[in-house]
Amino acid sequence: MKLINKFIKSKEDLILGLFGLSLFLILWAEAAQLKWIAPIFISSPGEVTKEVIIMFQNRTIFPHLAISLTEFLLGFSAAAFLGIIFGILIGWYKKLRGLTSLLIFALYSTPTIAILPLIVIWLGFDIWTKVLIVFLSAFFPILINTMSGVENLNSDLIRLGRSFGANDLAIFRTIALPGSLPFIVTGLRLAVTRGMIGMLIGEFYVSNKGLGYLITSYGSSFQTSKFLAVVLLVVLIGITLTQTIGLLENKLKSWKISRD
Amino acid sequence: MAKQNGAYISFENMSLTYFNPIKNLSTEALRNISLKVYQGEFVTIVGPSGCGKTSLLYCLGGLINPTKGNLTVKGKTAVVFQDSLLLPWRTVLGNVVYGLEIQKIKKSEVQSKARQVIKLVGLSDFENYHPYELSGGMKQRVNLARALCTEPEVLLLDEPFAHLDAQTRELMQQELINISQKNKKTFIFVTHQIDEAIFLADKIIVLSKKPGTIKEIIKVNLPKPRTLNLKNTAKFAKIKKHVWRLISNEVN
Repeated sequence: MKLINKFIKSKEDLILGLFGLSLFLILWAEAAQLKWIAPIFISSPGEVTKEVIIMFQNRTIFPHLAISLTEFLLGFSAAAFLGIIFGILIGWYKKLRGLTSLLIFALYSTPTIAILPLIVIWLGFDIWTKVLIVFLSAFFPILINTMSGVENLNSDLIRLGRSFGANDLAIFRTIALPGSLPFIVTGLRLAVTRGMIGMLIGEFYVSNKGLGYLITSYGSSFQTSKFLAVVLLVVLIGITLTQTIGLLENKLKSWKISRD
Repeated sequence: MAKQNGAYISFENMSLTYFNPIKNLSTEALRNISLKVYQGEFVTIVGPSGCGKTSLLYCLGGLINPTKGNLTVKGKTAVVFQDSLLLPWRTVLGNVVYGLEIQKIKKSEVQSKARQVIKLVGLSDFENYHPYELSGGMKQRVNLARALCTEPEVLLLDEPFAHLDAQTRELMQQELINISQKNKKTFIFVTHQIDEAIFLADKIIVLSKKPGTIKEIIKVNLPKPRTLNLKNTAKFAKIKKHVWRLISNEVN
């Protein structure tokens, strides 16, 4: 009994969370079952689950999943790579920071969707349009977090590096990069969400394939169960990606908390 | 005997002025420092707070350039900072190899050298610990080991034991004495603790208040090897009184 109590205590948040989720699902199921709200508006948990299973069984979802993930991963990797490099450089060199600060601020504040028409003019309806949108959405959170990570570096650690004769490149590699890693990972986590939104928006407007395309086409043809099934997939992908990065974040926290 | 090798470090009329471009303000930190240090000497620097002790050390380490005069340092230097300044994401071993890694020494060589130094400072069992798992005294040992690992001819220590409790500090002083007697390294040790300055030194440099000038150079002819008992002798007390008077004259 004591052991069970202890188990419940330690997992209290999780147990409460699962309880809340089940309550929501039951209410949803009841609402659909008892026709409180017409199924066309809300479908039902059972129907949505069924649609997910069907999508995988008849493999219709795979090409869409593949194209969406390709767009996302290409755009996100490029954003991570360039965001970290430029973040370190801009965070490090004060002059460069002054030069770019307004531009970065303006671009970060611009909703990517506002420049979507321009991107279409550049790249047409190609996959690269979506890759670029994902890139633009994900780039700035990574850039800005990396910058603040570098700006917040303990300047004494840099002096330490210098005392052993480290040049700028060695300082980047051994102090600036690892020292701002917790910030970078936070940037990556924010960028996942923004990148997913970018991917969906791109597919909403300029696509005939992909999860975003499925969402709009099922939505506009009132196939609510199928529509929600795709949304559920998007949610699951988002959770998986952010949780993976969250794990990394927790691992880094151990020394970050104890940092002077 | 040491003098046959010539001066390892020599200051000739060195002055240092800091300039703050934002406030358009210059502050004279050090004035007309002339000093020679020979190989194997243990030199401690004391003085009232703000007298430029740390600045002097940073000049030696090449972290600041003197404004006027000459400063030559023969051989490699390594700095032991006041705060341990360990890289929090690296283990003890990772921190100790840091200096050599920057100086591009082969990895295999670095590891074995680092383990020797870690053993020397008595942390062999902790080589895979991270700084947040270590006590203040242990962190300072790692700090010291990191500097020793680069095999410097001149070790520059900036109040390395300032944040330690009295007991740990005494133990660390003893350990430092042991290390200095084992190796033929030159030590420059900045401190505000007069006890510590005498106990460790062959030569004490007393600086005046800002701008720091050399007020007196005191030769400490106490026997070696030294143990902590030395602090209770009359000779020790006499030097202590003298240094104390010099510094308190500056403060008042």
